Amino acid sequence: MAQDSTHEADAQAGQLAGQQSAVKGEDAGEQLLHLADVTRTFGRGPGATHALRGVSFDITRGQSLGIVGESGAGKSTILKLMMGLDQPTSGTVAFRGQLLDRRNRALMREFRRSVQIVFQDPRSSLDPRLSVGAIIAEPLRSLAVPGDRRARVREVLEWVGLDAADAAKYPAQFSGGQRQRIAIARALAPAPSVLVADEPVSALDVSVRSQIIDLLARLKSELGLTLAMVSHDMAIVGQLCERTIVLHGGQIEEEGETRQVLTRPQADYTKRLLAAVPTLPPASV
Amino acid sequence: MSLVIKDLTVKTSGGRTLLDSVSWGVEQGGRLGLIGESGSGKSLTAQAILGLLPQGMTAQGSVLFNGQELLGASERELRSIRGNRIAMIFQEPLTALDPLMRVGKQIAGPLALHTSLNRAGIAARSRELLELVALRDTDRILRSYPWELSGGQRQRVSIAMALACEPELLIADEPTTALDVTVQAEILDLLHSIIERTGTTLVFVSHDLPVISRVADSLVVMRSGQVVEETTVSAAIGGADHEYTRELLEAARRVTRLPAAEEA
Repeated sequence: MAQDSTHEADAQAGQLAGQQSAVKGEDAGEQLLHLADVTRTFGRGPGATHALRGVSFDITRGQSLGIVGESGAGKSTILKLMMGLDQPTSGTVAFRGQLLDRRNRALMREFRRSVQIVFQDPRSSLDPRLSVGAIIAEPLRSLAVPGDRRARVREVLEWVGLDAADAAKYPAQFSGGQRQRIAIARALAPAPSVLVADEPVSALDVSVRSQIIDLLARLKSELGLTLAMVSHDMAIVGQLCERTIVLHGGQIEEEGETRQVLTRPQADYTKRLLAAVPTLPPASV
Repeated sequence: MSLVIKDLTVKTSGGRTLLDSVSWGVEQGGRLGLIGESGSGKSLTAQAILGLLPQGMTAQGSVLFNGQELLGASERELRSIRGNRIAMIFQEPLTALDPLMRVGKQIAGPLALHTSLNRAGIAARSRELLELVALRDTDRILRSYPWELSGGQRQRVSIAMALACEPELLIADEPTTALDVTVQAEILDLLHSIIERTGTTLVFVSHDLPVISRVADSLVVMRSGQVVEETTVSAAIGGADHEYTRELLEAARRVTRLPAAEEA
C-alpha cells in the first residue's frame, strides 16, 4: 500500500479528536453561506447554456454539505459562486447574512478568509517552484492575516499529519496523498469556517483516499470546520457530509439528510445514481 | 493460453527497473483484471504487451500471444497485430481519438488497414459497430468530430474502433475512470456483454477493485513493478492470501461504503 508516513499521526490525532465535541463554539447552526434562487446562464438567445436554474441552499455551521452530480450538473458553477469567483445571472449569494458585494471590501476580505478551497488534483494545485512553507503562508500573506506566519505554517502542517520540517521541502518531494495534505494545510492556514472541497480524493489511490477522508473527518470534529464538498462520489459524501443535495441539469433534484438521501432516495435520478456506484460484492464466506 | 507473460522486465535508459520479472497468463476468452495503485506498473505492462513502451525503455522476457513472441517482434509484425488481433481502449477517449478527424473516418481506419472491405463494406461495418456499442443516431455520430460527443459517447466510439477487426485480445486501460458513475456503469455492462458474446479475451487494467469485479474473473495484483499475487476476483473478495491484496480490498470497502450497507 502506498503508505503515507503520516498514517500513525492520523490515528493518534484521531483519538484526540474523538474527545472533543462535534461542533465548536456556541454558534452552531449559524448560516455561513446562503444561495437564494440562483441562476447562471452562459451566452444568450437560443444557444444559451443554463448552468444553474433556480438553486437555493444554505451552508450552516456544523452541517457539512455534499453536492452530488455528474458532468454538466452545474457543480463547477456552484463552486465558483460559493467562492465568489463568479456572479449569478439572477438570485443572490450571501455570507453570514450579508449579500456578497465586491464594493464591500471588509466583507469580501472576511469572506475570502473564511471560505477556503481544496482542489481535486494536488499535482496541479500546488506551485512546484514554491516551498511547502511558502505555499501554506501564501493565503496568510495575500489576505493580510495577522500573526506569526511561520508558527501558523508549523501548526497547520502538524494538523494534517505532516512534519513541521516539511515546510522547507518542495511539492515534488511528496506523494499524491501528502500533496493533498499540503493543499488542505494551505486551506486551513487562514482559519476558515467553510472548507470547500472539489472532488478532494478522486485523483488519489484508493488506499490514500481513505486516509484523506479520515483526515477531513478529524478536521471537522477537531476544528469545527464545515465542509462543502462537490463530488460525483456518493460514498465519500456519505462518510463526510451531514446533508446532501443532488444536482442534475442545473437544478436540485433532491435534498436532505445524507443518510436519508442515500438510503431512501426519493428522486428517480438519485436512485439511478446510487445504483450505478460500483461496490464490491460481499465476501462469500 | 491466449496471452502468456513471462519474466517481463522493463528498464529505463538509466537502468532503473520499472517492471521486475512480471509473469502471468490469461486463457482464450478469459477476463483478467490487472490491479495496482499509481506506480505499480500496471499500465506499463499493458504498453509492453503491445510494444508501445515510451522511448528509451527496454523490455526483456517474453510476451507470448497465441504462441507468437511479441517482444522483439519487428514493427511490421506488431503493426499487423495491433488494432487487428489485439486492440486497446484507453482511459481518456478525448486523447485517444483524433480531434481533427470525423468519427466515421477514424472507425474506418483499422477496417481499411486490416480488412479487405470496400468503401460500402466499411460504411456498413462502421454502422454495425456503433450499434454494437449501443449508439443510436449512427449517421450523425459518424459525421461528428470527437469533441461534439459526450464523454460516454466518445468512449463507446473508441470501444467500437477497438472491436472493429474482431480482436482476439482486448486490453482496456482504466477505460471508465474519466466517466461519470452512471456512464461508467453503462460502459462496464456494455463491455461485459460484448466480451460474453464475442469470446474476446479481456485484460482490464484498473486501480479500482469494485470496477474490476464487474468485468473480470481472474486477478493479478501489482505493486512497485512486481506481481504481488495472481488470484481470482471472487477469491480475493472472499479473503486474499496476500496481505497487500487484503489491504486493497479493505481500502476499497471503506471508500465505497454507503450508509445503506451499514444498516443492512
